Amino acid sequence: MPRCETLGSLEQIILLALVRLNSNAYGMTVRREIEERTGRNISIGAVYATLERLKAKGYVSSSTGAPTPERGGRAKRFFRIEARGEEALRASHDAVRKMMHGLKSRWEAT
Amino acid sequence: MNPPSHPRLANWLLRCLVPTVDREEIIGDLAEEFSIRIQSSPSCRLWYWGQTLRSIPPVAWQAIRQGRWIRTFLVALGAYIAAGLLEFAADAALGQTVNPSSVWHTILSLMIGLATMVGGGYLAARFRPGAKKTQRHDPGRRHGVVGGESGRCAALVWAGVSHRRPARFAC
Repeated sequence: MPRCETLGSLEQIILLALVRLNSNAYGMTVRREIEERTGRNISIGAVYATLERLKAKGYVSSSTGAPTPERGGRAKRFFRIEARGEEALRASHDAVRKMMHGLKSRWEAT
Repeated sequence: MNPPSHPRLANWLLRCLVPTVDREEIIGDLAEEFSIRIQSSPSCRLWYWGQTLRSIPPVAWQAIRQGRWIRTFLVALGAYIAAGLLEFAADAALGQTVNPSSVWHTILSLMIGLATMVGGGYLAARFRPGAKKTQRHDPGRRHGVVGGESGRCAALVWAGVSHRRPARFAC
């Protein structure tokens, strides 16, 4: 299996949000999805900084949408997870799963 | 009664401190979420301020790490130097051809200052990082960019300094 760069926890969460949101993933929806599912109230700036970092690694790509009135005529920037991003996400999940192996009873006990 | 609008001062802060590449998207996303939140919570101006203040450090740090500000600064500095050299050469030529104590010298010197100011601003805006990409995707959308603004400011300062130039050449 090819070695992938380790993902940070916020990077993992954001990549998972992109997978969940599919074609409707842009800054605001990603932020709200994370807040609704995890209760983490992250800033929109943190979302964009992480997305930029993931983009630089080739894990996500972006495209500009049409401007809308509720955004004051500003365009949305949609993000999409790329094959490399999915691979990194899978590798990261596998690493956690392997480390958790045998600890299930311990987690359930607490 | 009109619904409360998002804090303009917060938007101004974002415009000043968030790098160009994410600026409009961040402001647009905040405006969109604000318009959703305002329906359930009329006091969400505080939320907007919280998001603004918490958003600036990560994006600014990200831009510094990627070296965007360094490139933008270098473009602005290059434009400043180019505009300054051009103005210096033009002013020197003017000093040779027109009497330095005449009114015409003052007027022409001022015109040179203004021309180099515009030229410096154009150079900075034209060669700033991401200029070509911006023009291709969103023509005319991001005129207020850091590079262009820095270049214009630098050129403006230069033009301001040039008011003293006729006196210097007169000596």
